[in-house]
Amino acid sequence: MKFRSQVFAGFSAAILVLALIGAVNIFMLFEQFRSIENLTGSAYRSQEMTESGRALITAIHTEVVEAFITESNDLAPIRERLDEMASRFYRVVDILGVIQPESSVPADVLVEDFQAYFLYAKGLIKRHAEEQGHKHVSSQDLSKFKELKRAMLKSLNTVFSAHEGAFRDQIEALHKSSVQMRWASVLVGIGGVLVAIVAAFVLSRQLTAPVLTLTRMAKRAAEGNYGARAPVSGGQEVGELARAFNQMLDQIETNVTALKNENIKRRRTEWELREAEQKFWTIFNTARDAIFLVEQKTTRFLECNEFATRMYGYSREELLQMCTHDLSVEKEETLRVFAEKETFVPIRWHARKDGTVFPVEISLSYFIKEDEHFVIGIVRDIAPRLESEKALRRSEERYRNLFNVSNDAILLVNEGVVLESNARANAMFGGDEGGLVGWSFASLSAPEQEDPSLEMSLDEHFEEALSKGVHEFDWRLIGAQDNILSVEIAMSRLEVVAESALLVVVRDVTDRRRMQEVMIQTEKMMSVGGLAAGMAHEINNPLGIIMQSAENLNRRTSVDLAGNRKVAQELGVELGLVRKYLERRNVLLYVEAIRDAGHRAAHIVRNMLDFSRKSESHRALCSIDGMLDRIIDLAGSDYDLKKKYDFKKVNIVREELAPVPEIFCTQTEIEQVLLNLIKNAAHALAGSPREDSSPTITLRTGVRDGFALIEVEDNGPGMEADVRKRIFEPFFTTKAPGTGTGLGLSVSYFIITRNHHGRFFVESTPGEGTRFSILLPAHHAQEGADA
Amino acid sequence: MPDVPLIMIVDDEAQIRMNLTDYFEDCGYRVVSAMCAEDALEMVAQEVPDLCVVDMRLPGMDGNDFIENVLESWPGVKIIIHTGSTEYSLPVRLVDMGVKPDDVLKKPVYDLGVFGAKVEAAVGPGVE
Repeated sequence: MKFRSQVFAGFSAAILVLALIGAVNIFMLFEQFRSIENLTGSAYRSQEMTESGRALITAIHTEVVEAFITESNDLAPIRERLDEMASRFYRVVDILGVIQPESSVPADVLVEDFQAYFLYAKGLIKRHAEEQGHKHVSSQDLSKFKELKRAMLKSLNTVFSAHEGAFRDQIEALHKSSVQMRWASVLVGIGGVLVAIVAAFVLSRQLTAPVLTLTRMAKRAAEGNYGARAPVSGGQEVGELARAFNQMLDQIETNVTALKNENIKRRRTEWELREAEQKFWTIFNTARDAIFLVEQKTTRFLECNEFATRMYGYSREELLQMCTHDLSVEKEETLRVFAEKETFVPIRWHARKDGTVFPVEISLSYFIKEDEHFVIGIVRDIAPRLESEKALRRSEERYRNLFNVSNDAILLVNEGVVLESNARANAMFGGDEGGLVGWSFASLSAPEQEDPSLEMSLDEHFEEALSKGVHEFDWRLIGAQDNILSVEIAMSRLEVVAESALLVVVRDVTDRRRMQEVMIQTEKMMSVGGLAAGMAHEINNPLGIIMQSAENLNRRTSVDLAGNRKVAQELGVELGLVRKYLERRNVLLYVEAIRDAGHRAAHIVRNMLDFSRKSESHRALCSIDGMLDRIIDLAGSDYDLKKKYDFKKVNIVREELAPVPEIFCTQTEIEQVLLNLIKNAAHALAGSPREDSSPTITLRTGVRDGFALIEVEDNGPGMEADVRKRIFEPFFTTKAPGTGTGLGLSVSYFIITRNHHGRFFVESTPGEGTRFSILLPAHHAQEGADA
Repeated sequence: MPDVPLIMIVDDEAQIRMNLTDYFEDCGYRVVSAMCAEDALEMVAQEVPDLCVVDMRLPGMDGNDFIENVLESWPGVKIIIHTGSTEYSLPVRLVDMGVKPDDVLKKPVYDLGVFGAKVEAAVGPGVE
């Protein structure tokens, strides 16, 4: 049985016994009350009946006496009344008998006495009736009657007294029994208490003994002795407690051992912590950033490092009086950061004590210690970084712009493959949307290299650039239209990108090379032009004289002129004969020769002058196709072409690459140029007829670079480079002496480039032919230009 | 013969003077010539010519000044400028006095017939 049940059963029994005793007491108390109540009622009733009996006796007496006094004749009612009174008296006696049956004076005695009294009364009445009017009843009779009445009353009193005595006895008995019962209750109560005390003592002993044992052991454990174990008895709670206590001791013993180890460890940790703290303070004070400890609620500074004072120009004491937003220029933002617990602010503008504003970067960490919220803020001045970033960005942008707007093609090449190319490179080599990325640089190289730098291959140039870092050379590449470009290439090593990466800058110098050639011609011709201008006046006068004299010579030998005839007649000379003589002796032809020679000389002078002055002819909108048509007609009827160059055998081919726009030009000049080119071509074709193909002149029109394009191409013998380079030079001619002035192409060049702001160049391959290209500004481009 | 137009040649080149004089005389005009502007002005003062053929580069006073002098006093005189200078352009002051760009002939004039036609257009035909 468990201890708890034992306690429960014991206490329950004790309470039950006590409750039972209480109940019995109460019951008996009620019984006593009821007995007393009955007793009191009986006593009261006994008194009442006694009084009632006494009244009846007196009434009978009175009735009899009155009957005598009144001397009434009718005695019957009196008798009836007497009988009724007698029956009432008997009822009283009955009641009294019931009230107190064990009365010492029996009712029979009382009844006998009453019968004697009543009979006497009745006898009196009877006698009264028999002796009516005779007054037979004496005063003696009445005295006896009175005596009887007194005896009767006395008897009644005796009964009443007996009743009283009986009541007194009964009350006394009651009182006695109640006292007995009280004592019994006290005794039983004392017994219950004693039993309870004994039970409590026994139980407590049973409970406390093991607890005391455990307490003792706990004390010993407290003194450090964990070896002892409590005796474990049964499966009761106490046993369990002891087992639990033993387990606890086991646990404590283990823990204490662990704690000892822990303690050693902790001391080491403490030492390390002190070390770390010292380090922290060293870092805190030597940091190159401002470090603050801030109370989060108020944003007030609680601590700051030495660098903070240097950064802001405030002393530590001043700073510790301030809040974070006192340093910030953007105060609301600063407060918001704390409110929202942000941990990083990439840029914020702070102010120094002297008012200078500077950008900072802030790292924040929040922590709670003893219910207080703190923040560690690390503030870094990023002005230098921003400045260098800005500089870097500017620089990057500048170089990016340079890269993009450069008029040179710029390529980034690694191991011969293009990694990046700029817009100009894409335009130059015809890259698509992705530029030239992925192209092999070698694929751009022209197969034939005419340049003197040919002693090195492209690969060797690359190697040279990689080994020397920087390398420049001339080269020829294939352009977007499969045209050959003369280029200057500058390569520089770019190790930032890759080990063998090269930045390749390609400058298209095709036009420049051509222009260089042309410039040389131009200079020569300018000097000729300048000379011609100075000479022209001096030459024109004698030429005039020569030609006009020859003309006058012819005129003044003519028969048609009246003046001639008159003078001839005066001299008697037959003018007609003179004329015939002059004809027969070829004199007139000499004159003609003089005129022709004069013409030619004048023509040369005029051409030379064209170098030094602008055309004064009128400009007009002209159709190039129309001009070509006319020139072909003109060439067909040209005497020289027909006779000397076999022009009929030459195929004239017209090609239109694109509809050619109208141009604003001096038609005669352009026609002069075109005729000159066709004559030259015919001359070239006639000079060395080819066996593999029929002589052909191709006239090609189109558009290039926004200019109207006219090409005159022949499949003649072509020119060597040294001839090609001199072709525009004045007085340079490949024709036999006398057949060409050497000015045709020079003049043409100036007509195109100077008078019409066009371009004029020649390409030629020996054995294949020659191509002259003329580029003239299209009409819309010419508008508003000086004419 | 006051009805025959008088033509004055002003040129420092004697052969040019001779050629032109002979040609215009053959054409039926009266012709006078001077080798410089100063002489020519004296001659104009004696008899005003109908037309002057004037070279530009002359010793002393140049052709432009001479023409200006003549036209100031005798605005009706016709002018043909006959110059060897390739850069010559007609001064505005002469244009204002009625000289036209067409009246400028550049040396060498290939065909004297061109000259004759211009003169005839200006002063009418000569007299045979």
